[in-house]
Amino acid sequence: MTDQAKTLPRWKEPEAKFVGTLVYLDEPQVVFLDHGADAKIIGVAIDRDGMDYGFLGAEISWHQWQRYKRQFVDLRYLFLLPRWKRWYLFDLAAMNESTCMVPVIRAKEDVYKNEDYLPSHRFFAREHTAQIEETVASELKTETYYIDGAWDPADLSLFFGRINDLYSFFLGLKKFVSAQTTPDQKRGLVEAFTDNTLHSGFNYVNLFGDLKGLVGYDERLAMGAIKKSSPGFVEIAGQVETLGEVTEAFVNYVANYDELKEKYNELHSYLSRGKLLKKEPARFDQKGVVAKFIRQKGEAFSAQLDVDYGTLDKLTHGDSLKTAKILLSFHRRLERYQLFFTEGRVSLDDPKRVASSPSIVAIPDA
Amino acid sequence: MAGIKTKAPDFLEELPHRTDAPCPPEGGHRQSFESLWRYVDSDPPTVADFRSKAAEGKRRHPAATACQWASCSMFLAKNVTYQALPKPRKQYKYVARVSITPNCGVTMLGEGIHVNFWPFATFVPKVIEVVEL
Repeated sequence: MTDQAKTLPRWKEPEAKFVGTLVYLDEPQVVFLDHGADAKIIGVAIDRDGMDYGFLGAEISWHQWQRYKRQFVDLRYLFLLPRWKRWYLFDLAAMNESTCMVPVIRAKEDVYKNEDYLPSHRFFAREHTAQIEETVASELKTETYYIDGAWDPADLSLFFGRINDLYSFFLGLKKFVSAQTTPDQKRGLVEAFTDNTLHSGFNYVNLFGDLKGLVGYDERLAMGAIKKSSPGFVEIAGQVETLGEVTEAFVNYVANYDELKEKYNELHSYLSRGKLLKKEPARFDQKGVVAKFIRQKGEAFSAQLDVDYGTLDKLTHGDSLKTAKILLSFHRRLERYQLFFTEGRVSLDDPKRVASSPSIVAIPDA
Repeated sequence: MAGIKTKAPDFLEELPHRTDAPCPPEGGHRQSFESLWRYVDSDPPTVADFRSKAAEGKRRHPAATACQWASCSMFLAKNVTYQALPKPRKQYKYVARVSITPNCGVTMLGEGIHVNFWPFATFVPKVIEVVEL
C-alpha cells in the first residue's frame, strides 16, 4: 500500500511555502510548510553541517495534521509515519522572504532515521508557542484511479458508488464537528447517523444514502474524465481533505486487514448472538453491561479503523450499539471498495501505459 | 521604546531601531513574575545564558523578526517538553527558574506559555532553582 501512496499525484516542486512557526525557543524550532494539495511539511530544527538554519521535514497529509493538532498523535509519530512517506531537508536561511518559498530536498534514510534529528515521543501540539494561519483545505482535487480489465458502465457506477460512500461518510463526520455547520445541518447529520436503525435494522444503506443528500453541491464527489480502455483511468474530483481521508482509510484497511477482520468478526458475532443486529433501538439498555461491552469493542475497532470514536459517539448520542453498527457498516464499505483493487482492476499507481487508446469519454458531474 | 511608560535603563543588548516596528514591541511591559523558566547551559546560570541569538552574532533567522531575534525565550511554567526537540536537546543542559522584577527588563507574553524577554544592562538573574534535563 505504501507503494500506492507514493505514486499519488502530489506537488512535486522542489520547494515549499513557509506558513509559520509552531514552536519558538530562542529561534524557530518547529515550522509548518505547504507543499501542495493535501501535502504539508512539518519541520524540526536540526544542527547539520552546511546549513545555517537547517530543518528535517516530514510530508504529512491534512488529515494527519488535524489529528496531530487534536493530540491524537505526537510529533514523533508524524516523523516516523508521515502519510506521504517523504522526508525533506531544508535551510530556512535560503527562504525567499518576499514569496516565503523555501527550497527542499529529499532526505535519505540515514538522515530521516537519525535519532539526533528526530523529536522524542510525547511532544504534543499543546506545547506550541504560536498558532499559524492555516489555509482551509476546501479546494477541490482530482484523484486518478487507473483501471484495467473489463469495465462496463455498471461497473464504473458501482466503483464510483463505493468511493462515494466512503467520501460521504468522512465528509459527514467533518461537517458534524465543523464550526461552520449550522445547527439544522448538524441535526440532519445526527438523524442520518441515528435514525436508520429505526427502519432498516442492520442495513445501513440508508445511512450512506442520507449522508449523500446532506452534502452540498460544491462538496459532492464528481466523476470527471474517463478513459475506458484497458488500461485506462477514471478521474474523480472532490474535496482535497476528504479524498485524502478515503485514501488513508483504504491504506489503513489494507495494512491492518487481519486485525480489522478479526475485530469485525468479533463484534458482529457478538451482536448477532445477542440478536442485537435488528433489535429495536428503544428497547436497548444503553447503560447496561452489554452496552459497555459493545462500547469497549467498538472503541478498539474504531481505533484500528482510524475513525474517531468520540465523534460517532456524539452523533449517536452515546448509543454504543448504533455506533458499533455504523463501524461495521463502514468496514464493509471499505471491504467492497478494496475488492476492486484486489481484483487487479483498479490501482492508484500510474502504470505509465495509459497513453495508447484514444477512447476518451467525458462524463458530466455525478 | 514604545509601550513602556517610564524611562527604562539601557538594554543588555543593542536592540533594532525601526520606527514602524518598535523594539520591544507595544505589548512589552516591565512587569514582575514570581518565576519564569529558561533553558540554560550552566548551573548556576549567568547573564550569558540570557543572551539572544542576535547577541551571539548569528544573522537573523528569516522566520523571526529582528526584535524577536534580539530577545530570549522564557516560559511561564516549568516545561521540559521542549527537550524532546532535536536542537534544544543538544543545546541546553538545564532549565532554570528565575524571579523577574520590573527592574530586570521588558517581557512580552506570547501564545501559550512563551514569554519574550529583553533584559536590561543591569540584569542579574535571581535563580530560584535549576533542574537538570
